[in-house]
Amino acid sequence: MTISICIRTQGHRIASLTEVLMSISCQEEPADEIYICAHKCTDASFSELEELMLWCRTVLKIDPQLLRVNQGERGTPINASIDASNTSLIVIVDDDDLVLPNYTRLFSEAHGQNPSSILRMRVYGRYQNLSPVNQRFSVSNVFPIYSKRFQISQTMLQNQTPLIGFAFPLRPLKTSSLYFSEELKVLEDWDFILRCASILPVVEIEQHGCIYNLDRDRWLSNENKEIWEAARKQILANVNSESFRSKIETGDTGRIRAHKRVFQSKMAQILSSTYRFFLPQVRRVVPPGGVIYRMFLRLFQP
Amino acid sequence: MQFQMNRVSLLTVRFGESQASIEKLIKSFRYACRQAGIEPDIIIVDSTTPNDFPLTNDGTFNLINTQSNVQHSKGINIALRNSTSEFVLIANPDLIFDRHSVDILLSSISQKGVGLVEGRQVPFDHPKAFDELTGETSWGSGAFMFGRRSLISEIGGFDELNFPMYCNDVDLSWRIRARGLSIRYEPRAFAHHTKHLDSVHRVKQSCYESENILFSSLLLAYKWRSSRYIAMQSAFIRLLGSKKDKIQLSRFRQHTATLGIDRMCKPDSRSADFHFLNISKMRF
Repeated sequence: MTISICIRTQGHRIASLTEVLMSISCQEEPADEIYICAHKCTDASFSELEELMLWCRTVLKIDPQLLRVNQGERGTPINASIDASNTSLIVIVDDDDLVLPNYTRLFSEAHGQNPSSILRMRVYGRYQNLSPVNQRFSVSNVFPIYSKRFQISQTMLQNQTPLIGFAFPLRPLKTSSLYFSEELKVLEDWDFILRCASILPVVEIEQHGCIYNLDRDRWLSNENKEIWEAARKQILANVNSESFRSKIETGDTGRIRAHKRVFQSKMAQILSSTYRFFLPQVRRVVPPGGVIYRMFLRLFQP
Repeated sequence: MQFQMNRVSLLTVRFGESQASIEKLIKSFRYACRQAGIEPDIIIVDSTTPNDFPLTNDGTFNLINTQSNVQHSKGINIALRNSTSEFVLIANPDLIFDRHSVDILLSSISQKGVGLVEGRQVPFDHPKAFDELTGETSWGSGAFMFGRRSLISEIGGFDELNFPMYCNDVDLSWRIRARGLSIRYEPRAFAHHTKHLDSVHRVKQSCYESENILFSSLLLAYKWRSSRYIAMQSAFIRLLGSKKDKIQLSRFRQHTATLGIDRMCKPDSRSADFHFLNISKMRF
């Protein structure tokens, strides 16, 4: 028993959850356990999830377990699945993420060589756009996002990997009582990654195995800004604690300062209206089969 | 000839796909039909060389063995001739359907003026543009398309001679458009289509695939657009194309000279949506 997949959902996005389950069913190496953690679901959403479980039997080799959690914050349902898991590795997937066929295989192989390490793979980003009219849905092409290598000094300032890109060894988590914060309303993943990475080594997998969907309006939303800011301050306060200081190695202070400068300038760019306008305009320069189009570009582009 | 209206036929051509993959296709299709309250009918044309990965038929589907690789167009045409349903779902054998997909596709094809409906493929969809309001697009992908058997048969099915494998769906779609009907993209109906990415983060294509797509797109241009347009394309390839592109160009010239191809009497730029030099406008 190697790998458990925990999918967190609130039952609002059944279609995208179906997509996640489809992508899990096409794994080169199937997962041993699948938990669908329904968090604060309404009865109607929960019955839809139960119906989805029936469909899962037609495509998945194992029956996913549906866990219903009605209390706590975003970390609570994940903690429930950590407790329930009987495997040696756990991955946490959101109901709007997608995994590629090599996802579990890459983690299983790396886990075999590094049984007590956190595993980190590279993640693709992709913009999705849900048109208000007729629910027309379109996605952009994928592109690599965030840094290629995990650096704790960089992660102290900003989370550099979506949770889907990590696999956590369960035994060290359970013995060290490392669980997700059940108080944080947002950014619980950043907090958890930081706390785990301060104790356990992080091993890189130099391949992409999953897709993190980004909303086009993500940067424009001011909703819950205060909650995000409060959570960020709380995590940064934890970073300043003694346990993290001991983790900082020679040269890390300089690196943090450098990252901070880059991070601040990036934030300034994001906040400026020009950058906000251009950011979602992800354009594929070379469409598939566009040999002629490529030639055309070579001719007319400077 | 009357076809059964309360039935949907799944038409697919197998070429070495595993038993597990086919089982997922069949089970998910049957489930989606049950949700839509419609009878499923499954026709699999097996193009795999005999004794290589034989497919076990448990009696839930109609298996037609061709004993050789007949390629996509011919395979689907064989399946089409064996189907008795009015509605046909043409799909690749490595698809997994969402449970509501058949229901949504049925309601979409029932709309007035719609000739063909294309579903969304997960995780990598074709990047061609579509009208966000109506869902209208220039062509539907043969990996996941839904249509009426009567219409597809009437226009002669896929063109097996000129487009045995690639761009056959584009040609079929444009022939439907030439009849005044539209092609709809229906993203709410989705299916998973296993694909891998290459080192530059694009959907992986085999060498055979990329070469034949260029050849087929030249044939498409020859069939649907003016001689001037072809001359321009050829000039581009001669000027900037790679050695492989030039081989495909000479293959194209040989094909049109020896086999012949039915060109449109009048170049049809309204049905055939060449955008710049590509076969459709891209959304990204």
